[in-house]
Amino acid sequence: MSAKAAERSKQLPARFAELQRFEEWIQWEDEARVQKHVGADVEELAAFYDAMLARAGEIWDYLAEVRLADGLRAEDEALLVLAITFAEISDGVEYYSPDSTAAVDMPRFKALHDSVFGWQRR
Amino acid sequence: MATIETSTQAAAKRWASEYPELGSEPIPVEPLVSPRYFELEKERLFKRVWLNVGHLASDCPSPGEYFVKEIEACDASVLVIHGRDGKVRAFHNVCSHRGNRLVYEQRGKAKNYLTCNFHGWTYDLEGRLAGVMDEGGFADLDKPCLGLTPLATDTWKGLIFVNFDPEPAETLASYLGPLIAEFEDRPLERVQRMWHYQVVEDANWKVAMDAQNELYHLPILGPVHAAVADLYTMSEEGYARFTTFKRFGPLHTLWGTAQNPEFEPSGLMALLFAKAPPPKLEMPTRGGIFDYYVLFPNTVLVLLADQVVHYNFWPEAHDRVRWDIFQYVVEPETAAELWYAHYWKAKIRDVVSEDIASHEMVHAGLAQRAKRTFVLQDEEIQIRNFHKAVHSYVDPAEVGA
Repeated sequence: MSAKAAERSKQLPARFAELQRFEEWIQWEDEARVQKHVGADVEELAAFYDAMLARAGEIWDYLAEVRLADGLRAEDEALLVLAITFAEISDGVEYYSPDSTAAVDMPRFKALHDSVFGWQRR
Repeated sequence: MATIETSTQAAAKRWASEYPELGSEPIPVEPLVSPRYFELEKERLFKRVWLNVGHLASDCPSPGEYFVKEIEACDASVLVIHGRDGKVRAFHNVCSHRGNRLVYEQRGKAKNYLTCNFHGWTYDLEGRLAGVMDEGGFADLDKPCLGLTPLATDTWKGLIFVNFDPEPAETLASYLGPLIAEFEDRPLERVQRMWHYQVVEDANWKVAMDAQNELYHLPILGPVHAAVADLYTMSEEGYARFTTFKRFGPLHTLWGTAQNPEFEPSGLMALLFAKAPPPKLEMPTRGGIFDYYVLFPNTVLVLLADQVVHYNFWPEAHDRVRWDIFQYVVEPETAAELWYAHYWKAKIRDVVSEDIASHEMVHAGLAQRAKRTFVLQDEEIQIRNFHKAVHSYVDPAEVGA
């Protein structure tokens, strides 16, 4: 993890405080998110997935009001990164569990983009 | 599950009857596993055709921006520079003095010049030799002849192509042929590159291309493949079917497939489908939902209504390939739209994650040379076209196949 990523706040917006217990899933780097994913067992992954899916509609509605051009507040960016991790692990729960949590080769992909904002801000 | 009106019997003849020139014979294995065949491919194929090396808006959008592409199949490092005059040019990444790599880094931006870090020779952004340190020490230095060695360069639909042939047999437009008209109604400039994954596999580049060149494997290969198969139109028996296959001249091809009208998303996909705003772009698709174009030899453009997936398969050796996977979407305006783009990024990553093992295991199986040929069914016709195109550059008989 870069020093910059380590300094970023993982504090979520107050209305999503109950998801703060999953703050270890807030990782700015692709590789860190992948390591967290493949390091988790089926039960841990399912607990995160279930909690996130239950609030996913509210998360969408909240993030839909956050315009990227305005720049993100730290708490909104933390929620976005948590939602990104959720999107990235969802196939693990929906399709791989309970036999596994991901394709065995998935960690072999090298991400050459900015892990949150994509190619233009790599 | 939706069905299309083709029984298995009819399906066996569908594309073969439309393209009888592609034949139905088995494909020789040796060209996929032979080091000698790869050496011949390098000289007669990769160094003679137009190769997609970049994307203008992503790799070097403004004057002064440059990037380097290593192309082992051409024994070369290529430097692509967006000149001050607005033109994009590619050069051998080699200093004219002693042959040093001019640029070591992958990409950058120069104000006026690029400088060799061995003896400080400088080149302008159009590739001309601009400055020579201690120039008086050279006898008869012909500076106008000592610019960077250019490669034929052209662009199409924002993609940058080079050709290593000093006198290319045809222009890029002629090489792409009927694909130019095919893409006229595709506003690729409306999408922007968001994601780039790269993976190196122990497989021949054609094995990797083949695996992506059919849908026959879709219900079988892995859990996410099976889930994706449910999105598409299948036969009555549950087999994947192209809704279209088309050749654009002898080299380039398209397969497409349609959406399963009875598909019902679940889980996170259902939530995101319900919440996402209507697509901001509705590119036409020939297949119905998903068009897969092979730009011979090693580029693929996968078109959906509002996103594009772009592959380059770069052979590093006869048994190793570097696979670049780029994804382009309409620029997200809100954090929710960015989240949605990440969802599709992960979906594509997870699908192709399942492909890696099959590429490597198929290569290993073929390299065992237990079989001299492999057989293809009608839904694998794009593979047949692809090998026929490769064989038109290098005759398999040259490696005893």
